[in-house]
Amino acid sequence: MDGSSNGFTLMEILVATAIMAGIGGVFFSTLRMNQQSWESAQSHLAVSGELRRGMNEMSREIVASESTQVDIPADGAWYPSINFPVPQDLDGDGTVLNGAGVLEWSDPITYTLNGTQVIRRQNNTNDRVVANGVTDLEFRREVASPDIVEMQMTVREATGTGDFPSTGTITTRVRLRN
Amino acid sequence: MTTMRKKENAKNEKGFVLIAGYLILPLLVLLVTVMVRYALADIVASQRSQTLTQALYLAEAGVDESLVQLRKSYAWNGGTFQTTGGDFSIAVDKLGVTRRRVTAQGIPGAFNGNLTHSVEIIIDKNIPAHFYDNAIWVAKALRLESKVYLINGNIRYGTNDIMVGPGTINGTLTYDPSVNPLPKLNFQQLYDIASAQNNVYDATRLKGGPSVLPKSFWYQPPTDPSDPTTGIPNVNYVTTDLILNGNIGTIGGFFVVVGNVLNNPNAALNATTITGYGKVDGAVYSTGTFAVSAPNPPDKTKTLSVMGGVWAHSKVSVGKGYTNITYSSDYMKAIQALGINPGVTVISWQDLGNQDGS
Repeated sequence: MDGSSNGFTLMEILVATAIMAGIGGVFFSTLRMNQQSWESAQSHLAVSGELRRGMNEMSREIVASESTQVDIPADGAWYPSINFPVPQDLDGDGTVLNGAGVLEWSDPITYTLNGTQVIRRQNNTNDRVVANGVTDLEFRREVASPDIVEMQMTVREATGTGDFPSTGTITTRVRLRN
Repeated sequence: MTTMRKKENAKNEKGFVLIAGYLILPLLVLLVTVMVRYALADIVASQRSQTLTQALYLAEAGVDESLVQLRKSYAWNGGTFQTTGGDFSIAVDKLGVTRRRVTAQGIPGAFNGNLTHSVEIIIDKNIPAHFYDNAIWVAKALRLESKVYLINGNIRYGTNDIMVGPGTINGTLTYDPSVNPLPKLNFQQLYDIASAQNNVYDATRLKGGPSVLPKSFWYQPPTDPSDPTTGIPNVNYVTTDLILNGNIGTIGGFFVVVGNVLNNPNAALNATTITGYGKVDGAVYSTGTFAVSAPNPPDKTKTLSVMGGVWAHSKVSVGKGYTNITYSSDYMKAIQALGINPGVTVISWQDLGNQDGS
């Protein structure tokens, strides 16, 4: 009796090892699934964050332009970039109107895709990155509504191991206020 | 002996659990702290973004409110308004006799009262000189595509977005940026006149086609034929797009195509589109596009005529068929004699951005 309480039989060790292996397998596969789920969620969040940030910045600026100042034709076709000015107090009189009561306009601002980055450019010098991981950027105006600019952007983002890339597309319509 | 040693060992192992606890606990605390900090940072960032968006919407609500108030009384000088979603304050500065600068500041308050957003507009309340002097007054784009169009009268356009084909213009073609945007009229006053004449047209009523519209410019012809101001024009107030096709026969009056502007300060621009032929005996004022397309290939027997004048904000477009737009000073005098007051026109809109008062 004493002898038997001092150790384990081979069978006991094998069974215990098998049980431990099973539990370990379930544990690690659950852990792996959680990790994948975490990465996937991170990727989705990154995509939606990038889409929201980029669209917000562009629409906040485009909204202040005017239908005849925007360079894309109102023909319903999609264009890869947009040029437009915004009101600016050029004569320093405290308003965006000149002496004749006409709106003063800034130098044109461009939003375009450069590789996978959306770039804001003014005067061909001030490049600024608006969004990253962008695979598609398009603008259009419909014939019947030239004062509405429709923007579409697609972002593809891979976080962590890069095994779970996420893709998202957002479309926004902006009514030009001037 | 063996049993006793085992008991002693068991006693000694109790301390090991405590040591292991002390080692693992700080790691767990550190992990949880990092996770909480990440979560809090995300929450703060998303709340800030939400607050700033809310501030922008509140500022826009302030702009809308200012337009409502200034349409009631142009002497109104602003104030602070509370809504369930936050506050907005409005300041009105005089810029000369007819212009005002309105600054609306959105103050969400719920998350961080220091974050605000401001929008500035400049407005005017004035019917400019030359308003009643033109065959065509267009604030933005002008497209005269035809080789066979005929414009009898002056054209005044507000931007360089024009295309003028080789038709005939018996009048001046003047680039005048001050005609942009199209001046607003007192639409309530026009609605009241149209309503008294049973000339308010919505989408349902317009389903009847051109035949439901008046046949003449005059609601009451001039009592003195040499003085058009002794007559009263039909004022046709259209609360939707005016779309007419085919043979429109003769329709008449002063067409005010403005949509739902009385109830919605941001109402969509409304278009007048006539695809066909016939005669508009009068003038058309359209907050959107005025587009006419007579039959193409051109057929002189199927001419589209507008015998009065046209005002449009977005675009005047004349297609490839025979089109005749002729200025009528008599009709313009009669319209002017209605005593229509100017409305409030937004000349500029500017986003002043976020202000972080902290």
